[in-house]
Amino acid sequence: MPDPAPWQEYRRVARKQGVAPALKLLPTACRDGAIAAVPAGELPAGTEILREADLPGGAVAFARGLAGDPAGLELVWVRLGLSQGLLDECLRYLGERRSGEESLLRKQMIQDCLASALNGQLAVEADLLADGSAAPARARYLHQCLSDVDRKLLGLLGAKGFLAGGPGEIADVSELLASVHEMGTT
Amino acid sequence: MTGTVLTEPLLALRDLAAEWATDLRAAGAVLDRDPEATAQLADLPAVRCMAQLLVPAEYGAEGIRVAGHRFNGMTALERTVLLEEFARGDAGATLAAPGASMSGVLIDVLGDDEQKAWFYGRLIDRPTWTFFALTEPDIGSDANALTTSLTPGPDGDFVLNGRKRYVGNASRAGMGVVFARTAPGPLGVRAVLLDTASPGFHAEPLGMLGLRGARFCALEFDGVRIPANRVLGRHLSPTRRGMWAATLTFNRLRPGVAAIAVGIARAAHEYVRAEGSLLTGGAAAEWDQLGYRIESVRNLVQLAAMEVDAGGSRGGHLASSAKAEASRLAEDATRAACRFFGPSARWTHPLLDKLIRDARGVEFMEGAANIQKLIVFTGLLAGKVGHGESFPALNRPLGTGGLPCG
Repeated sequence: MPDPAPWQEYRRVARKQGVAPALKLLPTACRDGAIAAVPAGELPAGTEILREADLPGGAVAFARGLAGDPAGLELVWVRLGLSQGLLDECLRYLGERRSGEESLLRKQMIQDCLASALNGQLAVEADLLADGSAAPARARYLHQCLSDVDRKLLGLLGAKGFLAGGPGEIADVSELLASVHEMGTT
Repeated sequence: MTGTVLTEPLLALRDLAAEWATDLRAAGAVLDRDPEATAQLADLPAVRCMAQLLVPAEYGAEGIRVAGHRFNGMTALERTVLLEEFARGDAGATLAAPGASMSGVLIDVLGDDEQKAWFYGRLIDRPTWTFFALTEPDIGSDANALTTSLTPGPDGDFVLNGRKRYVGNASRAGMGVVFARTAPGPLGVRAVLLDTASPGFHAEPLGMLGLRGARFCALEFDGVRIPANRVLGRHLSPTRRGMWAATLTFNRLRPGVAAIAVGIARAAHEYVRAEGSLLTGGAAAEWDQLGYRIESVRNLVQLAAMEVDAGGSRGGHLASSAKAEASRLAEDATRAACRFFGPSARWTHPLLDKLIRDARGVEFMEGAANIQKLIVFTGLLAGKVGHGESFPALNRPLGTGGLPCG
């Protein structure tokens, strides 16, 4: 069983501070020509940016050939934290929204969706804590679980989840991080 | 299996349980056809194990001795290890075994010394089935609304009247526990120990789609006399002997039911895996993903069990999460296995037909997924789960279960 302390830190930072601060913590590797993500402020001059996202915690850029390609399960921990941050945002947003006389959080369909999302996150966290093996197929499974959870949560935010720079874009960047990782392992 | 939270003694317990479970499959198939055919179970090692599970060593239970440890099934984590393996053999046969089962958890929570001596003594004396009666025909398992009554009799004893439903093993049980109401409100709920030889007790088996070995029954209590010393929790404060005890009991039991669901999913997954020559390309990758999901849910179940064993309110919410995920997994895995073999699967693969029916049974046991998710949501809103580290018990030297022995 792995020591979870450093990984929990990745999760906490991603949840509380966002994508860029979490990426700064990760061990990185460089593969020629591969796409990777880094905090935008760390881009070497003249790098061709494939995608840039201005997010809470700092802008993130995807580009080729950067020393910013996190390997192994560290990225799953970061994405778990981002997914938990999305859950926090959903709770805050839905707690402030009302339908008739009551908070949306009192609607059982909403409760079901939030509980299902949390169940998915808990299963991923439990699995990460129990097993440190980073077989590509297993990592792919865990990334897929988190993407499924995020999609479920985004459905609760309506159009707010479609705004650039908001929780929807964080989830989109999170999915891209997973795809970049998968591209490097297949 | 790959990574695990289990210690070496628990891994040894798991391996032993896996070995014992191999006999359960054939027995389960017989019970599926004839739920009364329990005589064939008596000599199976898994059944003998279940018969003494949840009886503490101080009451004379030998327990399971393995890897220098003795396990009596007193922790939720031990039970998840055993029940997953046994259910992988056969869930119906596992639930058909005699023993303390659900009642044992309640007795552990609520029984005084005299009650424990009576209950455990009968279990040690000979294999005895027990039952746990909470659910009622009109109100389900909502303990706040239960209507079965426990009223004082003229001689200081009590009288039980009412009906229960979906009570496993009741028609073959020698004793059981029954929840009843002495007064309105949550403090008016009490549990009693009942001897099934008492006049006025009647159990009628119900036809079920799966888990037929468990012999779910409808119960009637028609003026059943309950001696005053069989009312549980009499040594505890009113707040600790009714609803509180029911909730605590379900929290402790839920990881075990979740583990049964994982066992069913594994049985389906492994059945298809055994057809290795058919698993190629995309189908093989899809099956691998299901395998990862089974591992993930098992880890959730075991970590939830560790939190339950550590005490506190977090464990109950996590156990609900584990139960919801595991029962969904069991249904998904059994259906996926059938899809793999095509529309004739349930006609040409009797095991899959049984597994897909059994999986539906674990969905409702201990509360259906919708109820579990409401409990999870309540925990989320209250900050019990979904905030901070989810499984802090993993970092404490607790929850491994079992005791060192010579």
